[in-house]
Amino acid sequence: MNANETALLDPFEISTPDEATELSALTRALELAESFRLLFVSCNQIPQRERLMAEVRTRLPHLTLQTIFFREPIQHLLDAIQEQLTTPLPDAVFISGLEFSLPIAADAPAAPLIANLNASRNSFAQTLPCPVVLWVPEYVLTAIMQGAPDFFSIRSGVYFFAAKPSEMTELARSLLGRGYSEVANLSLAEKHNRIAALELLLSDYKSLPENQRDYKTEMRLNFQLGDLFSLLRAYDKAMTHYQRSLQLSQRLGYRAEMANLLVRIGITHQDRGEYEVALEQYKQALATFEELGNRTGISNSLHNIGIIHQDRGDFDAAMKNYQRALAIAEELSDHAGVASSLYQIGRIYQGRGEYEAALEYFQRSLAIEKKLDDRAGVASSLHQIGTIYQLCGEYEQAWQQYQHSLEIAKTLGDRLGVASSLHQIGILFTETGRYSEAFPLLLNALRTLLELQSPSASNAGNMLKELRAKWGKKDFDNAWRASTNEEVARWLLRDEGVEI
Amino acid sequence: MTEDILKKIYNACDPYVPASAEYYYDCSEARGETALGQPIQRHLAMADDYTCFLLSGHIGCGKSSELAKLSRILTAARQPHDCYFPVLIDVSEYLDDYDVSLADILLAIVTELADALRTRLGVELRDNYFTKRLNEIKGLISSDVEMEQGEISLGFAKAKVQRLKKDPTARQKVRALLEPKMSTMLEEINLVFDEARLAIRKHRLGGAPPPCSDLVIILDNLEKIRKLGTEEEGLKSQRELFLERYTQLTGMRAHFIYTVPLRLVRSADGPQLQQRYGEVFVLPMIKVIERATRHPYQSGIESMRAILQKRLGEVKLEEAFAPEVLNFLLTYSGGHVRNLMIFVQNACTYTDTIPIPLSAVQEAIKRSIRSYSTAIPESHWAKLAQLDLSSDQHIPNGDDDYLKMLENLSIMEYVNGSDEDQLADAEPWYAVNPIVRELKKFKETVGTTRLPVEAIRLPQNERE
Repeated sequence: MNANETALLDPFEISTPDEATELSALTRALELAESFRLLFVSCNQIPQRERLMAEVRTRLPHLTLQTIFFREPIQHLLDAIQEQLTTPLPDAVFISGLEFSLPIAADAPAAPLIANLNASRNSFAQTLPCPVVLWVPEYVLTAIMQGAPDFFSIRSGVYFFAAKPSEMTELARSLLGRGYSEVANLSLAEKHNRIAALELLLSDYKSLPENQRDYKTEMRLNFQLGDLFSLLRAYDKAMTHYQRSLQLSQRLGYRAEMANLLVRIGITHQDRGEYEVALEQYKQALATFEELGNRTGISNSLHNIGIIHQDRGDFDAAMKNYQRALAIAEELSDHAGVASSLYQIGRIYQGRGEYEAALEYFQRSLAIEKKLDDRAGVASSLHQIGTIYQLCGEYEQAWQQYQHSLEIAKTLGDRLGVASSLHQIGILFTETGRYSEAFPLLLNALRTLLELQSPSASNAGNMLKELRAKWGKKDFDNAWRASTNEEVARWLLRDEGVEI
Repeated sequence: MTEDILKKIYNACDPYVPASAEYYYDCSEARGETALGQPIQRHLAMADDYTCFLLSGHIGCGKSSELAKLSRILTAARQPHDCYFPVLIDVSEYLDDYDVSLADILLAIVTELADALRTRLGVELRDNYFTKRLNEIKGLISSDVEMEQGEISLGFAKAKVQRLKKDPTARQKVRALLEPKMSTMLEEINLVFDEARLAIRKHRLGGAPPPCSDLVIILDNLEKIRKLGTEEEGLKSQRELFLERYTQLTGMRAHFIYTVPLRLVRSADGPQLQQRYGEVFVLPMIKVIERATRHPYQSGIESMRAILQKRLGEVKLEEAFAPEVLNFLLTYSGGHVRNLMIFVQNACTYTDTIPIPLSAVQEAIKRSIRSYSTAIPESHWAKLAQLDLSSDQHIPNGDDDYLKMLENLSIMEYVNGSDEDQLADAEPWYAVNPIVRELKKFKETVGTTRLPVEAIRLPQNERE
């Protein structure tokens, strides 16, 4: 037996299973099954799944096969299937789309959907008289194994299909074809779905044999993943993908991509308040863009360097950069670039107390952003317009702008944007004596800002202290005790302040 | 013809269904444990008070099959005093694993008992505490048609109570009604047991079967509970139920058998379970390899063959598989019955000839290996390798990673038969799942793992 065992080890090298073999085995299983059987198909890409399902149908013309595709998140698979089951009952049911209910791979094993699968394992066999095939991406299969072991243990088979390079290229083209602004304007759920789709595709690309790897596409997939995580303020993940993309761009010698990535990496550092490192990246990017004569790149880098100057209080230098960036953007008809520079110039005027000029600039940027349907940009401009109204004492007007901006930030899943709006509304309420309403907003903003490691956290902390001074120790501390948060407490105590 | 036979094999080897009388095969020798029936019967015969047993084992190792068998034995005993009225409850029909309370469990017990008395003996329990409570919540658990039928009687409440499993809102309301009166509830459930006992002792169907002497309540699938009340999910909740609430679980006036998670039994709390409940039966894997040497263990392999033959019915094993194919299959099952069934079913789909060729079996096993490749956490590899290389095949007490591996079946528990030195061999030992041993990552890790230096042991005298 021992000799036998060694002789037979080779077949277990995990190779990519052959599509024809898997397909005929799956077809066999459906032919052999006489009642409920649980089958899994591991297949990452939806178009490929659809092609395979169609193939199974042609091979089994005598069977009625019902496909149920769940595009919206579900919690109870069995209930959801029962709602859609046709009468008379089909001979087998194909289920697809579970990834839309499990957008974040790392959270998937603990998701309610998976837990419910395990709890309802017996009901499946009792309620469904025919085989059920779950067509899932590999990470969902893993989540089911880990999170629903009892459910997984009653399976009659798992069939594996690797992605086909031609289908991968097609999908990559459709995912990457559109630029940053398309990604930025996705709703929160769409962003998560896009991340899931990109991660799956990237893992398919990585599992290609060495001589068939397509590093250019991998670079671009990583780039977009970085953007998505950055928009969701998951900086560490964003950084990992940007760095990976940067490595690949260096290896492939794509200098413009390299410089663009340096800008993105710079922004990521800047969002965390690491200005020195950010500046370093921008300067390096600027040099590359100049060498390449890439004018859009030059404009972007100048603009970003301007922001760093502004954050450090060097407003004149900042203004110079914005104006140069603006001139180039106008020349190139780069509308998005124009809008962002107008916005930043508005902020400089605001800092100098020239509110009318500031308002004019914000309104110009807002108009362009509306035309471009750049919702993230619209949210920022509205927010800033709100602050101008607030500075002029027009509180009702200001509140409306913030509210509008807050709604957009929420749909986009922009936590930093949400925190900024809450913070601003909190200040507004503090100024107008609505202390008890201001308190939860400021606290909420501070929590998010601390979590995102944002340099604005100190502003929120100071505002809370101001609120305490105005509202009175007693009321504030009571409210405080009712919603204690250790992290915030520690933060506030760091420089005197609140008693707990 | 071939197609029909393959179809027969495929559908007979359903991993989902526990073995019925037709499929059951006693493999106690190969498990190194006597089957559940005998020792439990002996305990019941000797006990002068109500007893409580725990049963544990891997997912799919045969617990439900053994409990069904036990239930048949208890009913079929020749001697009146050995004959019991078993009530086998699959609690997963009643409970939502992720939201359980003790009240839910008690309600499941009463309902199933009343149903068993009604269907098996035609006996209706008289109006009791639970009937009253059920009628108070009638609106929550009845359909419109049922509402018109008037009062709920306990013997017919099963389908209605099972609805609570899928209705968290109704469940909350039922608990709000029952839980404040937990001690009353326990007292009342004991009164129900008393009444049921009278009924089964009196009962004599045409005088032929002897009357039963007592109730044995068996709760299967209770180990699957993930969350109890507000406790943290997983081990914490299971600990709370089986250890902290043991006075309730053992305080009822009937004999009880509960299934407990293997992870809890092998955790640092294991000995406490033993102290509080008495016997903890653990159903090990069927041993198909010898400890340390990994040589095939013939008796175990024979048992697995017999189990498979039972499933196949009139299709002879020799007809279904070439001999070396069968050996191959049994070895890779690791003595895990449900895995064996999955392999066989899956292999049927990679062939259209019989006997099923080696290549089809390899394809099937390869798929299992592949599904494991992504499911093992990074931190487990080194520990898996250590276990595989160790000479005594023990796992360190209370190591949480190993407990998780027991749960997800990357390691399997075995017990040697008691034909040699009884005490030394009663303790369990562990081996890495043969499927996991085939993973590239495992092989690589084994290649690089250095074992911690063993404490030196003095050589022992040769046994006489």
